[in-house]
Amino acid sequence: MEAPRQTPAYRLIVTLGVAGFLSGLIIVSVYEWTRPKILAHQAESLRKAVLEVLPAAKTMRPLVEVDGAWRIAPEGGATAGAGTAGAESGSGDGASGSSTSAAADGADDGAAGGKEAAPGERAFAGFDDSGSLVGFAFEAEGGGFQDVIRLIYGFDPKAREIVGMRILESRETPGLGDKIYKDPKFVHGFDALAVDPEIVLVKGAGSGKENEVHAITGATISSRAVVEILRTSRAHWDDATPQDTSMDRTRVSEKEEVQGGS
Amino acid sequence: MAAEAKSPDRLYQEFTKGIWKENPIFVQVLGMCPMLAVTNTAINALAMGAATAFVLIGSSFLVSLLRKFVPKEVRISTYIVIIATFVTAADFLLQATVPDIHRELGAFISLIVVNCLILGRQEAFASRNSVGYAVVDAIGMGIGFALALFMLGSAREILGFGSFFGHPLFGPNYEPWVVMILPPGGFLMLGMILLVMNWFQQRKSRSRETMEKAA
Repeated sequence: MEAPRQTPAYRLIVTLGVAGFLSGLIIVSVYEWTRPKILAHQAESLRKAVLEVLPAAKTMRPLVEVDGAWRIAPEGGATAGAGTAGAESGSGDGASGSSTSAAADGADDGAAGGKEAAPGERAFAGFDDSGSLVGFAFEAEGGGFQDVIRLIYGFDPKAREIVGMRILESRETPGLGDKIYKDPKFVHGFDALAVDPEIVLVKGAGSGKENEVHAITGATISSRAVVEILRTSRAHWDDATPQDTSMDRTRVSEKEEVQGGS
Repeated sequence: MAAEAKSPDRLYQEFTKGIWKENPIFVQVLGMCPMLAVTNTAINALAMGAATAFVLIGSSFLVSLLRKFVPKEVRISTYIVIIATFVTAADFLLQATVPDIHRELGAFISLIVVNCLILGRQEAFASRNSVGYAVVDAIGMGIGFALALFMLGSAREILGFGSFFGHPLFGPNYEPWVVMILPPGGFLMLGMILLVMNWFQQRKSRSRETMEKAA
């Protein structure tokens, strides 16, 4: 038997090398070309979700972590620079002794203006037309029936109520578990949900209390997962949320004073 | 190897065979993974079909164009690189243009890379035929694949959700046949369609036989 003619090794390497190089070039160009559109879509859907779960809100700003405490990012977005935040807190909180150190901390953090949380646990503050704070929106995630459920919910710290909830991502069973976002009755069960003493899941009629979520028939596990995610997120954020006693009248720029980790 | 002269007859044959006689889903039974996973609604099926067709046509064109330069030892690797490039591009394009559908299809877009239909066409056809035939074959196969997915997707959406392209058909009292939108429903629906198609096929060949005998 005659051995098949061998192609020299360098030709194989060159072929694959050229193919890989061209492929990389094409992918990078497509990526660069589509990236702004993809980012715009993501930002838009996030903004829509935040404003949906905070019905009273008209604008939003992310919470950023500065020096271990969570604050509302200064006007103009998180990238506007911490110098502005420091200056604002310095002028607005003259009476507070810690304002100068806060300004210094802000400056230390550099142009990043504090650190935003990782996707999946981001938090946002919502404001109404007059610029006063109406509540916070938190992203949260946890295990569902099949895969991770990612959701966002609005929280009114004054009424201590969840004011809205939307599922961002889930792979629950179509027709059963996916009712956690397709069944309007379940979704609207989070429109005014008290979080004290804690959110409970009830099957059937329940007792009509304000902290009760009614489980979906046939999707108890998915319903429980949603409640569990909300509980965990509340426990995590209750201490860390920027607290403000004079929420209705204060401008945001004046509320840089944060009771860190109280 | 077939003659290189392009006859309109052969072009037509290469085009239509993918749609009916060698339909990728119903006859070759290739690409079952996306078939099961994403044909639960008509719109998902269409998007998946379109993305696959895009990748198939692009790769067939390039593979056929480069068929004389690629040494046979590394041909499969080269095909995969070419296919993966188109898949990644399709992924970004879908994400940029129709983010909602992209979210529904999720990981299955990336999995077009391992769709055996695409690699199969490169190995069996594009690498042995001139660019014109390769592209026509890819278009035919792409349309055949998309049509098959669309058929399955429509049937499953109508039975499993009671809607078509998201529009409810039967009113609020319709009790959806939930299993149809789960993966087992994909198998069930495919089985039913194959049954009907093969029954027709058999009847046709049997009637041909009797005609020949009579003649």
